[in-house]
Amino acid sequence: MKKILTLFVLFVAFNGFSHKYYVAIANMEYNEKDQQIDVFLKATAHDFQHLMEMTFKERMDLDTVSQNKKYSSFIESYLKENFIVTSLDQPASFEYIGMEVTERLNIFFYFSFKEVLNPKKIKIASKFLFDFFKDQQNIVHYKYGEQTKSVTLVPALSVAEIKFD
Amino acid sequence: MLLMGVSITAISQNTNNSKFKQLKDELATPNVYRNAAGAPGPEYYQQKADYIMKITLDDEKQTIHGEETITYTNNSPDPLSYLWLQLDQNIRKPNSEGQLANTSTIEDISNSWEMKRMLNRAEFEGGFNIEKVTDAAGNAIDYAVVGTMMRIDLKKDLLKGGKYTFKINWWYNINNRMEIGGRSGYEYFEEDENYLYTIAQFFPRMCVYNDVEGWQNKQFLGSGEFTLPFGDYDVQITVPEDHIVAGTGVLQNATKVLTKEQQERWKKAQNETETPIFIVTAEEAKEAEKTKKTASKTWHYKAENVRDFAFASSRKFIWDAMKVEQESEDVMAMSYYPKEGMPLWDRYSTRVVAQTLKSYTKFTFDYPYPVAISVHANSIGMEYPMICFNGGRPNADGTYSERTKYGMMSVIIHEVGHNYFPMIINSDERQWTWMDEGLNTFLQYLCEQEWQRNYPSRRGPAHLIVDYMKGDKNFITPIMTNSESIRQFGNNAYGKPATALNILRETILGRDNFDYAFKEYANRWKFKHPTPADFFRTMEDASGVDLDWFWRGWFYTTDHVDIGIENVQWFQINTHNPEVELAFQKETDAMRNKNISTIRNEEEIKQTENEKNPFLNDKYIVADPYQVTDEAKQEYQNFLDGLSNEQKEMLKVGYNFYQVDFENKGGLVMPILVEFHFTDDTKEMIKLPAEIWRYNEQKASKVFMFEKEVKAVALDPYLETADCELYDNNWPRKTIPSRFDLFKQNQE
Ligand SMILES: [Zn+2]
Repeated sequence: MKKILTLFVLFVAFNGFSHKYYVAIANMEYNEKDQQIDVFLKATAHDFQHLMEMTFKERMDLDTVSQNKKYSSFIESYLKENFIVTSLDQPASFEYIGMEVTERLNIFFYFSFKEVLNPKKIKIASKFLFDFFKDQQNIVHYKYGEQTKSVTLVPALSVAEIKFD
Repeated sequence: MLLMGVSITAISQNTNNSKFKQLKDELATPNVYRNAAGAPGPEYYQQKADYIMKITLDDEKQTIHGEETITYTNNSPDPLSYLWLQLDQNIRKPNSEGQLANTSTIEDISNSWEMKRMLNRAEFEGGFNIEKVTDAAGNAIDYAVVGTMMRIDLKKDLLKGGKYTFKINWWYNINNRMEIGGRSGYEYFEEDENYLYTIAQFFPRMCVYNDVEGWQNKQFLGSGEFTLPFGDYDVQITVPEDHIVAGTGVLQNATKVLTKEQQERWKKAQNETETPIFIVTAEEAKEAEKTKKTASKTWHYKAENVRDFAFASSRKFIWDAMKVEQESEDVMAMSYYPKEGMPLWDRYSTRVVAQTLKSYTKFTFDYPYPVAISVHANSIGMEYPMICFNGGRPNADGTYSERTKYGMMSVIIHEVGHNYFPMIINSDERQWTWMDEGLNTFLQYLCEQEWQRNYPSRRGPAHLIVDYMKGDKNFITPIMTNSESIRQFGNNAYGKPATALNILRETILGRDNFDYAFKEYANRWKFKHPTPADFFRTMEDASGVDLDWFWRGWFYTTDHVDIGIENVQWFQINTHNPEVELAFQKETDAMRNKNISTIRNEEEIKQTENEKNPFLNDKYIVADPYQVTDEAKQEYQNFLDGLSNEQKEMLKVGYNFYQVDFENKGGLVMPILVEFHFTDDTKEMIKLPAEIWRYNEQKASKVFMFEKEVKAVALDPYLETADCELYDNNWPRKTIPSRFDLFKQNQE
């Protein structure tokens, strides 16, 4: 069967540093008190800037995007669609908290997952930045109680399960 | 002496898997070329390649032509029947191995940027066109191109001490760096229709031949960078008349290519150490942008004892410079940038170059070359001898974010720093990326902290590597992995080795001892070709500390650090003094939980039989069990009489003993840094060497003795060891707010 490639040909020059390190790290922790999973996701600011510029076809200042409604609602829905937690086949509900850019050229996103049916056994599906960088790797650390388990998601394998006994 | 107790973990499965096993199997046997101390041996040799080149840059067609004469000297004991050269530009030939060796799926190109890059790459006719290869007399000689390499077949073996001179004429199409990428190429400025060329890997270059690899025979696939022999260069570069050229080495014909005024400014800059002097001003550069002259001019550069040559050329260049004074020769720190780099580049670039030389020199040796140049090329950071191409561009309106500023300064420090590793301490980048990137990133961190207090360094401090090291081990490789097989390049080849060295310096060896050994390594291998073993051995030999366990854990495995405090028990000496001990007994009994029956019986049983009838009470049943009897006092006196004076003294002080149980959950063995916090609010730090784990790699207990009473124990409180889990580092346990908690708090 022939598949049709959908192409969006844009004419925006790539402005990011052509660096070789496409890694994002999500630190997840089960919050017993609020019965939710709290997440902070760290990525290279340049990579995310590239995504924003390709999406909006304009130059972007990451330090001010969160003050712009259009951009921040895009970011929220981008994260919601590209970072999904399910438990017992039921997607957990995503709650966006905010983002910050640091001097170390990193960008941090903060969000939580509520209504996680069984927090000891979850599936994480992350395609964060996969559309833009084929070498992107998304490392996920999940801490439940005193234990931490880690998985790494890559474009060829973007879903993984973490289980605690 | 009686030997008892054999290590249990170390000999399981009948082979020695101990984390403290010496590195004899991993490191090559020392020999006459490289000795056991990690220094060049008595018969160490290296080859020499000298170049005379005439280069023409065609600004109309964006092509480059070269006539190159190479004189190769064989200093090895081996007769050579052929010579190998690098043709790194061939990675841009359609269907090069570098392109074919990369996997791709349809998803990879279903976004516009990757798609465009791929189409551009496929269409671009890159790679060397070899016009002719002749001997010194001009007779054609046999050669073969094999991918990114070229073999010259010699009619007669080149023996030890012999020289061979030959010529190559070549040309190639220069790539648009901004569209198809690359470490070199051009950037086109639409607004004023000018090109900015950063030219490197641009001529056929001799491969390294040495005692370790023979001929360097790894094709260029794109990640593993370069390794080249040292030699002298004489290069004439012909460009449009209104271009300014920056190159490796010293400009020989300033009077021919610079105006009188510019020559004056150049003289002035050579005496200026505080403020960079403009040799080509912004006004002159803006004027040149418009002229578009077609006549040409030749810039003549010479460089001695370098492993490569690179240059940049453009109408758009502004050029500033100042002097850096050293104990040996002075150096000119210089920058070349288009007006688009202002106001960042004029303010910082040359000053950062100067700072880099000062910092790096402290840890290695005086910078041995006459110039150090930083050229602004957007979106990149790439190093060559004496010259590097660096990104960091302000917005079009001249504003810039903090990130752009720090990104620019860091990349300049990093790329200028590469002059030391690998340009001078000439390790093989195609084999071991970490040997230059790791060591350089480590010094970059030290330099950044000297530039500005609490500079936001991305790599170096131990806690910044934790997220990487505790990740899924299927996606991590040891540092000792060939450059082309590394996963997570940045963390693996830059971040982790830089962190390891920082830990070695701060925690394992201490600053003075580390700095001494590191400097020894730098000086031993200055203008030579070291291997990993030479580095490991020198660091041990010069510091006087066996570090095999450290190299094994940090460089040969993907283990991470996770040490925890599992239990703390408090003991005091039994004083035998009934007044003290009985009171203590009373106190602890009161603290002990009573069981439910006892509690109920106190209520329910109004009177027991012996309470009714005291006759039943003999000497063992007394009204107050905590009462001090005369008999007990007498016993205590007898005990004291039997003690020596020393023992009496110890009793008087009243020592507290704490047994702390540690567990190594991560696998990587590290020293245990434990801090005791006393009830009088003072603290004491105790460091147990990593060897505490040598008999049992999972568990270790240790008893500590203090006069004071301990109220808390903390493990690695100053984040020195890259410990991945902090919740188990405190006794009693402490909840540490996560980055998530802090962010949420600040929002509320
Ligand atoms: Zn580098």
